[in-house]
Amino acid sequence: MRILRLELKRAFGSREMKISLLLGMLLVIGQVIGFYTMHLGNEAFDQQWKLEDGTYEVGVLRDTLYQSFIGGEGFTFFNELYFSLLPILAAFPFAGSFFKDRESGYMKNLCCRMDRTRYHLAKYAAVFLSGGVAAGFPYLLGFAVSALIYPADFPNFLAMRDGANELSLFADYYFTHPLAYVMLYLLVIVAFAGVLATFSLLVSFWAKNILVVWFVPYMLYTTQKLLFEKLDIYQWAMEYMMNSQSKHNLLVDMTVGRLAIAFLIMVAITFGGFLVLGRKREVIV
Amino acid sequence: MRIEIHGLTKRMKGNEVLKGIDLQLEGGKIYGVQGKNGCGKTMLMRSIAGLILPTEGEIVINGKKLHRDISVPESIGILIENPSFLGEYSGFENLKMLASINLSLADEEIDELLEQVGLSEQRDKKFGKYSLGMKQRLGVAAAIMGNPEIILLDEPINAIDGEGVEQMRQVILGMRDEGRIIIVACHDKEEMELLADEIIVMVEGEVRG
Repeated sequence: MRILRLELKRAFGSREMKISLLLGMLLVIGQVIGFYTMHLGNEAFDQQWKLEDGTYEVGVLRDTLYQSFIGGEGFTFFNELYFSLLPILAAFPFAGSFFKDRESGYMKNLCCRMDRTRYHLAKYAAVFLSGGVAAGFPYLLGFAVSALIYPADFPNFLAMRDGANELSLFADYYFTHPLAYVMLYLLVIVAFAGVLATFSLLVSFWAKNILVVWFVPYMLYTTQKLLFEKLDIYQWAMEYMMNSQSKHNLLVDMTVGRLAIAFLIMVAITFGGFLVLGRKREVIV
Repeated sequence: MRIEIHGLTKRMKGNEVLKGIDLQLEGGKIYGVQGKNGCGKTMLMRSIAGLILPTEGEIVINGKKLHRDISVPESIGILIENPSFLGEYSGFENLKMLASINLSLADEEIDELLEQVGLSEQRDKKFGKYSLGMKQRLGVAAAIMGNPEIILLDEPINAIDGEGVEQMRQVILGMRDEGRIIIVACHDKEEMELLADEIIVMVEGEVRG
């Protein structure tokens, strides 16, 4: 599909994408420095648990890669910051492009060359993919950078700083195939961030300002979290589904089924809504 | 090549912006659309381009009904209102990207097109840094790219200097001679008389002559 290729080129070549990736990189740098200072570089912290013979107290094991990167530790505030900013990282690169295409009149150039549904499909796919990639980038980069510093030992069930317990999603993998665990969470982040970014497309039909378009996923994400916490159904909050280190992820039975249902509902709303609204509009541009 | 417009009416927010327009347009002619601001010139062009769904009436292009048999005209180039391209890409890249949607054009063909509209020297300059006249020229280039059968040009010589106007005129006349249907809206009456084979006068959404 030629229009999809064009939209992807625009998405991944945009200045906004570079800014989003740069922001993700800064989060990773902050986390790596913060965690290193807190643990490996912090002798006082080390001495607290170290025994005279150089070993550590029972239950205190050395830092492993899987417990030290931005997606695997909940000690520095960067983990929380990353998952709080995630919808902005996802929406900023390309979710505003539909609004911009419409406002600038560029959409005319596109819609006179093809059926508008094809344009809408390509736009949806490009926003989804660029949003997912931009939001997943810090997770993957953080993992790669931490891999240069910390040993890739398997997480130990006895460790006091476990990033998962038996209730956690994909817990079996965490202790037996931790790399697969990390990749599965990366997939969850890419999928949820992608669909979050597409909410911007829906509001683009009515929005008068691009800031609204960029921030709607963030507002939705934050409001949903606060509301679901209040209603005591926090296990349905997107942030807790994506962040393996959230307290709720460690306390409730987070299941793949729940994730799949939440994802499909959001896709149905955004994909269906975007196509139907796009189709129904009498004035295309 | 033939466009038939029967009883085309468009209502928007309670206003009738096009009122039962009937037109027959044939290839090899330049149609000049004249009228005051807000008389429906642009709306008529957008309707022909398939960018607006008619409230009533129909547009038939080469026997195919728009929005029923085809969603957009199969071969059309447009410059409606302001020329809009991607500011972070050069003129050449912008044309190449648009061509990639539904045409197969070699780089040399795009270069030729840029030369035709006098933009060869600005080939690699970012669109965001183009002057108004250059933007307009690029808009014309995009509209004629791939030799479409229908060309809609809304104010094509806006902000273009004297030499450029002559260049655009030659481009448009050349396309006419190749049998295209060209519809031009232009405020400049003299220019319109020089260019158009037939004048369509629009008043408050109606064709008056």
